[in-house]
Amino acid sequence: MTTIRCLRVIVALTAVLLGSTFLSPAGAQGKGPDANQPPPPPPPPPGPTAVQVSANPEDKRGNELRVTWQEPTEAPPAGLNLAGYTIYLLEGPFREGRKQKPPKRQELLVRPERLEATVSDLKPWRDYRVAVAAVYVPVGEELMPDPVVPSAAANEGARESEPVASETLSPAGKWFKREMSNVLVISLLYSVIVLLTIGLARRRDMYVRPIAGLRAVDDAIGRATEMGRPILYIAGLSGIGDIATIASMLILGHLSKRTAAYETPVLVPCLDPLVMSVEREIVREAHLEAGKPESYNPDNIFYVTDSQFGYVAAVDGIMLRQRPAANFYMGAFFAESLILAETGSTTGAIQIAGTDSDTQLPFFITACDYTLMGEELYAASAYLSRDPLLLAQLKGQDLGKVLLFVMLLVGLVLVGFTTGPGEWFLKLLEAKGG
Amino acid sequence: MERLLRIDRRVIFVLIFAAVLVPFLANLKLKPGAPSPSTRDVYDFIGKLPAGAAIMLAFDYGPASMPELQPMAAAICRHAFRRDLRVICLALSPQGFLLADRVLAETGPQEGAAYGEDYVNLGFKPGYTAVVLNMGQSIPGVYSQDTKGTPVERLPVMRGIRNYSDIALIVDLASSNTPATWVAFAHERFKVPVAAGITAVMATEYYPFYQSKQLVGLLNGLKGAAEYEYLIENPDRGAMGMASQSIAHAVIIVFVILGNVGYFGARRRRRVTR
Amino acid sequence: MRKAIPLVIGFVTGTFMFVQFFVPHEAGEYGYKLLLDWVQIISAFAMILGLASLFHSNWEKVRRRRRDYGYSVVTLVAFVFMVYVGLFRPGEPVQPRGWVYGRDSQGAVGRWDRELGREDQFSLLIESDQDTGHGSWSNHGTGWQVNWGRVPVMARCPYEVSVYCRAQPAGGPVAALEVSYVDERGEPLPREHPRVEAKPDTADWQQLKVPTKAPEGAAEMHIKLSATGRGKVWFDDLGIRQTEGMASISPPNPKFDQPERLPTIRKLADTEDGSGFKWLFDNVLVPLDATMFSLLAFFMASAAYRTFRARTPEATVLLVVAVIIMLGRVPLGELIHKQFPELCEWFMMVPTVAARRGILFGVALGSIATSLRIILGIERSHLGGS
Repeated sequence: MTTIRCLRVIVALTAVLLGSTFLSPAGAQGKGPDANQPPPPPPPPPGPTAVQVSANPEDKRGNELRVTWQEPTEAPPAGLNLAGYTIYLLEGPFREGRKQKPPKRQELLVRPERLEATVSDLKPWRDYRVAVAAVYVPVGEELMPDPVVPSAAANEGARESEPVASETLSPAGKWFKREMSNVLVISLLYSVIVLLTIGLARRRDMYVRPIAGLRAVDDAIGRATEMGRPILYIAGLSGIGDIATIASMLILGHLSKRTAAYETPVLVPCLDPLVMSVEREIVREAHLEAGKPESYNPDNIFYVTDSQFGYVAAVDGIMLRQRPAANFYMGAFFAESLILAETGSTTGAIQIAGTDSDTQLPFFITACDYTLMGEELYAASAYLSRDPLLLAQLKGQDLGKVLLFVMLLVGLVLVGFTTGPGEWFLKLLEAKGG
Repeated sequence: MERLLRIDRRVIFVLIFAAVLVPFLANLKLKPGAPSPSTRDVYDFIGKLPAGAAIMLAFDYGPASMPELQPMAAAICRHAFRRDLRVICLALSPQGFLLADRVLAETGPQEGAAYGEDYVNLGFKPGYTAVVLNMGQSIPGVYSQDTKGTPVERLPVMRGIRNYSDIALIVDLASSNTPATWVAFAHERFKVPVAAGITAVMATEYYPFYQSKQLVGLLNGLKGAAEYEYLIENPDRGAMGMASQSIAHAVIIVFVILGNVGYFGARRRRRVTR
Repeated sequence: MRKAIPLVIGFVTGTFMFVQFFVPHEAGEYGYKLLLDWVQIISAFAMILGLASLFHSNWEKVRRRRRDYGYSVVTLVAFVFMVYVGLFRPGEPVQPRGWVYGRDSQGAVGRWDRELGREDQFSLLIESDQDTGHGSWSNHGTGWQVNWGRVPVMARCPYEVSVYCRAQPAGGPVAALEVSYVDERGEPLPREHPRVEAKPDTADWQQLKVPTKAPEGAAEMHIKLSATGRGKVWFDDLGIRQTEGMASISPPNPKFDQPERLPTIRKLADTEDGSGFKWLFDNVLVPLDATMFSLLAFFMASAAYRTFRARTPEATVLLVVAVIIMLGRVPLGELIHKQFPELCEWFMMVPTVAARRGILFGVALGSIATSLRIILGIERSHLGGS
């Protein structure tokens, strides 16, 4: 319908236009063939010369190019002054006979003395050409950018030369953050220390300080088995990307292996469905390994909600109704930690917590029987597995701490000198950018 | 004496409930004394911005943290509107943008600010690291429209705002670890000043950032909110909450003292009977 | 093989994430964002698994009449109800076809009036009980194609747009008619928007007329009917006339008498939350969340009473510092001694931060070592077997 209407409009308009042409006095008098021809446009004003494009040495991300040029060699047309330049961006290399994408108007430079510009927001590895056109305005006027399209001139009577294009080039960028060298060196150094201690562990036994909270794990399992009640395991309220959640899932694996032997159920309410899926897999593997695949019940690991306090309400309900004999809180926790642990403590369960969320540690220490603090959470998996290779990692961590301690001491002494070595040391350790 | 060691939890609960409720019923407001330097720094920073500068307010919290963070948001909005600053609100937490709406609907008309001209709510975008990073390239590229579906280029408040270089300050009101993200990506990478308003329980986590000047200032819990309210001479819900908190802390201290009196009394009696 | 593939994936992605941290080139960031996108996609599928698990475990409890199955009934009913309200938006009125009430409205409500009209019983109504209330109806942005009220125009053509309006109380709210244009891609054309406004009378329908010319590049006309101020304003009988030439344009649903087509699909497709969902959020979720969080105050008090006892020297230090902090955080402390808040601040800034940094060093080293042993495949317990 609308198309037909549009056609009608076009037909009507054409009729009106044709009618007016034939009936107009000019048409009737017939001025000769020249009268219908528009006057030839004036030649375009002179453009810039020596337009060259190069990689921007400051460009790290690989999305910038620098363009330089020279002033037009010819004089400006009469009544006009050179007032600035317009930068155009052409995508793709120039190919004879191929249709080129229309140039993108990029920027209007209002200072004629500026002969270089940076073109940004480009894509790495793509070919670009940059074109520059000179902009002229009537004598006595200043070049004004258009309020709606700031890359175009708003002056009445402004004229632009033909754009002069550069060669084809693609942005380069950099492949290493030099300012992060210190972080790289320390990370690599620490990794080598950890790997070396693991290598050493193959040759000799290592002593690991006992962690009370982890020794109590067996008591907790025994108690639950005796009482015929389940164990409740909370893997923190963070997502799968959090290393604390990963450490917690490793602990759950070891715990499940031990409980599988006694067929004590471990209830795992989950906040994140992704964590739930991985935990189901880990617990299933643990049961297989313990030789009790039949005791694995996927319904014991279930999704509750992703709302923080909705989750707390559900878990508190489970504690009060099912009265688990032992509660484990392992992973990252936030404001809900005390609500969980206090409710658990009123039910009389053995409570073992472990978190790297240092702000929540006081709450767990107050309301739980045992608390693994900070790094102990990461050590727990190694400790529970008693695997010498994993235990060796703890040794590596200790050596790392010694390294940090030495650096702190050196820093403490050197920072006393505000200039010279102190300044040098501070600069050495300064991490720039994330 | 031993009875003092076995006070029923419910007695404590009832007294705490009364301590929190009474100031609200009696409309009792308490002045939190001289403002702490971390609050003062935020106030001074906003106070020194030229009229027309834009501040970005990130509502990275849910309804649970409203009592602590909502008064801060209201006080900062009021301060900004009075100084003719532009306020750009957004949320990295899915429920945050609704809370931003509440604050703006209350403070905007009261301070004579208009939606779209003086302030805007850009809403929530998921994937917070990517959002913070991408806004460094282009803010309209990340938020092409506001929560009402108006394209940002048609909003006068967003005129001239391309990326962080056009933002004078980011204030992150947070109940989780988002201030660290803003510091790491917006401040460290794009050099835009960042301040934070946080719940009191998170305070220790962010003092190091304030000490290292990665945060220009820090509003710490209800106290920070009340201090800011008094700095802009508009005591409101923060000041009211301060009264509740005062009485509640006093009640807790009384119970801690009772517990200790009972504990030492019982120990002495045990020694005597031995 | 079953364990080798996950180990290889872990090694490759772990190493990539480490390397990209030191690469400033956009390629590094691109890879990082790509992996984040993958995580989001996997999360979306995992969410389906999660919801299935939630439904299944509660359904099983109800089906087998397990202990406390009543709670599961509540969960299931709430679950189904929220999904229904969120997706199908019951109780939301049917809209007139081609017209949508604007989201930029403040303090005013828009309604399709099916009782009062100029010649029939249909009109668009905007109602407000505030002096600053503002609302508008427009013919774009309905979000569901069969209901789009498109008005195609010809560039450079002059038009006259008219609409009848009526107000209550007389001389109260201001009615306005505004016209703007978009190009073929739907991008608004930055030109002055012709607009006319009036304070219409109660008794009679008054015609608002605005002459306009479609600018260069215009493809469609956007019409906005708005009202500002306390009271009610009705709009009816929209007309568009091409003032030069003979053609006339009839806007879709000009008498506002046709209902939208397939309202359920419009509701399903709309990205904005419905009014019912918002009401539930404000009146159910917010108070419930706040209630759970506020339990913390009670538990904090009972935990403090139970554990802050001066049993050992360490416990005494903890007790004394706790009391100082509690007093220093509230005006009460300042009443006792002027220096209390400063002392409190010192504890927060110095000893607490020192202890925290100590813990953080350990956490950082521990997390690097844990990552290392997962990336290098030394830790395999998550794959079953150590």
